[in-house]
Amino acid sequence: MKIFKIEDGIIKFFLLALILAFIVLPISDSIPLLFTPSTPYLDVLVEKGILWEYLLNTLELVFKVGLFSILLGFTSSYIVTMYDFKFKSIFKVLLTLPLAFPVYVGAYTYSSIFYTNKWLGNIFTGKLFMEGSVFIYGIFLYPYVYLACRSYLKDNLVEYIEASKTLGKSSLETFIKVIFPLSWPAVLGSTLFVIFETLSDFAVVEYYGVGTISKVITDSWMGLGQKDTAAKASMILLFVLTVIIFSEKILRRKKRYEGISDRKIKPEKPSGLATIMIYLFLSIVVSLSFILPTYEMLVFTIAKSSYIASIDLLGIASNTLITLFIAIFIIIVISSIFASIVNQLKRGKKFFSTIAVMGYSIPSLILALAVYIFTLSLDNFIYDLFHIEWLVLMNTRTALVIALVIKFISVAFSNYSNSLAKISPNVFHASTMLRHNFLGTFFKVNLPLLKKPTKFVFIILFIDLIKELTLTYTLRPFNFKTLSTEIYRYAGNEMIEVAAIPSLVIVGICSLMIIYLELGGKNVKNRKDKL
Amino acid sequence: MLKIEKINFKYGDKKVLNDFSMEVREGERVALKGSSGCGKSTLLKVIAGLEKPYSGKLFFDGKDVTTLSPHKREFGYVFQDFALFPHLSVKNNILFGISGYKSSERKVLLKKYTEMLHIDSLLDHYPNELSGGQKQRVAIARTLITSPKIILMDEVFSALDEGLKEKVRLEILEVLKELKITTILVTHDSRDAEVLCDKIIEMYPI
Amino acid sequence: MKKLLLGLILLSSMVVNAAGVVNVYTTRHYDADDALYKEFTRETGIKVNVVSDKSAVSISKLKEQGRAPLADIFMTSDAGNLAKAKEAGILQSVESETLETNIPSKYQDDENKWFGLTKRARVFIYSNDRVSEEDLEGLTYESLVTDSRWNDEVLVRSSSNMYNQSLVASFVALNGEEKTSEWVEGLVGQMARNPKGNDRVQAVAVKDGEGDIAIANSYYYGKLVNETDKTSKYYGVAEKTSLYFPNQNEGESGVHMNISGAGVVKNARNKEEAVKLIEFLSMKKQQEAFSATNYEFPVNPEAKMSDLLASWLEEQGLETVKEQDINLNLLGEYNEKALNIMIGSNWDTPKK
Repeated sequence: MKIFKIEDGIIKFFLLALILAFIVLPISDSIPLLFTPSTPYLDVLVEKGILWEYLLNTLELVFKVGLFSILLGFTSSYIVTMYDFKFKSIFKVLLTLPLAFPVYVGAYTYSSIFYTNKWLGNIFTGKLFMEGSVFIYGIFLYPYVYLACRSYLKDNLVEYIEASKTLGKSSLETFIKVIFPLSWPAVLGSTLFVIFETLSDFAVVEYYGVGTISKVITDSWMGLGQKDTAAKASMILLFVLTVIIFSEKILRRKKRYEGISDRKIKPEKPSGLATIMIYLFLSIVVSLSFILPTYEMLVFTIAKSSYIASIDLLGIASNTLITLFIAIFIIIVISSIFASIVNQLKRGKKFFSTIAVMGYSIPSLILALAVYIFTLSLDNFIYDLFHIEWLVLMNTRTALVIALVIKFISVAFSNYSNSLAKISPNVFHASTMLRHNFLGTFFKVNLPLLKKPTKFVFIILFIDLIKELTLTYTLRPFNFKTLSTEIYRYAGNEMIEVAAIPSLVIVGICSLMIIYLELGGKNVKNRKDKL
Repeated sequence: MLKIEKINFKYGDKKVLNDFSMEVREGERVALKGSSGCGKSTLLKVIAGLEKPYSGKLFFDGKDVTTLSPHKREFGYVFQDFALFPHLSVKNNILFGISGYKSSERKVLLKKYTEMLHIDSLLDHYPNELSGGQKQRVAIARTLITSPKIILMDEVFSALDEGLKEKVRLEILEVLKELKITTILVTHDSRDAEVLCDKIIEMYPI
Repeated sequence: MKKLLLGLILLSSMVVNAAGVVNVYTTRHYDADDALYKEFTRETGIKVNVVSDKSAVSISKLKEQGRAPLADIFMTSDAGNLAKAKEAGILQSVESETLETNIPSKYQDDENKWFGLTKRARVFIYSNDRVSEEDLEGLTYESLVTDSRWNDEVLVRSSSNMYNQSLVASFVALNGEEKTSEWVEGLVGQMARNPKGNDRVQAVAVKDGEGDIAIANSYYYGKLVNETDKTSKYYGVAEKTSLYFPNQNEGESGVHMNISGAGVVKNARNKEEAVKLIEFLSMKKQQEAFSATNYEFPVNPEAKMSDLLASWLEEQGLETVKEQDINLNLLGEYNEKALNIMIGSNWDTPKK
């Protein structure tokens, strides 16, 4: 076909360069800001040891959230994999539903739950849980750990457990000496994602009054207009992140224990005592992580239902969806091309995969700042060149869409890469030998093969993007409202009941999608393979 | 027709082909025979253009095609795992390489090659429904329909049952003879080489 | 592909402004304002488009919009924000006789770049049950931090809030940096808990007994008085608490009186309409509406304050409210210094 007659190597090179630039360029624009002289605000933070204190808080937060998520996520995955009990399938679905809750919605909803149920507040909002923030992050993000461990345990441990049992080890010993150590890589990898999301959020810690590095970034950037201070604080956060990723790799020691065969674990019936404990544990987790907050939101929504029209719910929702669809479309297009190119590379596959993942691990505030600065300079560049008065990218969704693409492209990319990798490379070679160049192969082989994963990718992206707050709030143009920004605004004005209305929309839609995925047998988060 | 001059190839640090040269005349059926690790599959891929040697040259009909993109070479390739497109029916798998031809031509060619390989009853099936032998025929038909100048075959009989192999060898031989098509077959099996080829090149690992 | 997308986005971003429109970027989010805008449209035929956002965000966005701002008016609460907007260079001077007549020079910028429209005092809200007449005697901003009566009893919101920053900035303007640092450190020592929630939440905490006295803006008390939603946590708070204007006596500095106001954005497309709207809001009728529906003090000397506000003065035996005597632009100038002092004294984490 005529349109495919372009030199292969050039296309690949050009596309790769474009995609890389897309991801790397915005970040590089921020670098000069790191070398500007310090401001009085920054000086105070440093001199009074406040910056240091916030750094320690950040580390403490990360550590505690990690532990809490592992406690909730691993235990529930263990229970669900090893044991059979009535209502198990219902519990299995309920355990994934907390992912329908944006963490900030969780924070706002719980602040009133704690207010009316002081005893609950006393347990979860003390020093231990860092005013409640650890509780919120943990209770709504543990499903990452739950899902990763659930599939890992089911597929990979049968023989090891059997071996342990035949060697005379009790269940407890088996757990401590075999199951937990072997699961460690899966546990660590998924906890890392919990940490990424924790560090990308600024609203929860702001609301509960915990001083972290995010606070410095938001205060200096949004409060004082000091982008350079924000950039410098971002460096600290990035450093923390690098240490965390590094530690994870060391702790994991690059191992990933694979199962021996395709056999899956046969769940067994638990003893009487164990049954009670199982139901107790799961009921508590499920109540706290989904049932209670959802109930509270429903109550609020009904109480304030008169507000539905006045807050222009329809307008906000459609704006949210438009932005969503634009971003998802771009992500799918770029990542399908990117994954196809990388799939055919003989060398450097890992390098490009890492670049794609970078966007996801960079805390959203930092990414937002970088894209903001980049778009700004792009605006000035365009004006200097064309002198068009009204053309201001900052007034459009451009910056936001760019940031959303950079942040979430890895979701699609890793899914597509994995899907393509499952197919024998000879299939692609065959297409080449049958007179098709890269573009031809892409349209006639790759795209059709990626149709099925795309459905899955679309849903995951939808859920992630509709919940997204940090990028949306910081990069949106004039008069731009989405469900997430309006929730933040109303909650900030202490109108939590009204905020429940758009919250319910998000949680409702996401819940339906998660249930759809769960019942379809797919893992909601297929991310563990990325690192 | 095909001239290979001093091809050198390395996988990482390991040298797999050392100054390899050979010639193939038009209409010849050549077997590259050897045990695993001798570089025969690699050589086939170099000829196809799926791998690039770090030195040496490849000439086809006098033209230097060493760096020519594989999709421009007009060579056919049948893979060891047959590599049928899972999302396409048998019919569309076979038509894949001639999608640019006129509709009437495609019809004619499809009939010709599916009859030749006795797979005309399988047209609406999908690859996952086929047996190993059937997949092989589809793969071969898919390649032959594009009238390749040379057909490259990589261990195409190894996936078949022992009992079936001899019968299939003879059938394929018939097809290759009828089309008078230049063939390079890679195999570790002496019998494959003996039945199908006039010339056998023995290769040894370095 | 990227170019195509760029083109599409640019098309959708084109703003076509018909004549007879004014675009307002405001940080005020009160229903009362909407009623006034509707009235303005009825009288003049000019449509009013309103967008709400946080002040600092709005200022930096308008700055970036530079040549082609999407707003004509920038409206905000707190003189500090107005001064910052002026400093960011996003406001332009306006010559208007109406505005000069209606708004005393104390409440407008000397270069006519911003105009105050309402006044709000940062007052004390105290518990009716636990605070006695004697406690109130001689109660000032200064005594609040030095009198042991108020030890662990003071409730106030966080340092990131502009109203507090301006309060502290006003002290810097009046008393200098050193004295203000002492004041802030003293206040931190008197706090009942780590700051959380907004002004009204501090009043709720007073009612709940977490502290005896709170610092809040006067109009919030008006809102509490008018809270009719029985399910709301703000219900019934006004019954248990009262409002107090500090520093009203002879020789005292006066209560911290801040303003909310507006300015015309530089390069605004609809400058004329913008000026008209600000003039409209400065008229006696609208000023009295502000007072009646949003419990703020009018800036226009011709306008009378509402009965509710008058009752507050009456209860404390005041004829008029004595205000701090400072140039409001200083609230912007000293803002960063104020914030630094607050952060440096651990305003947000007095109880570790």
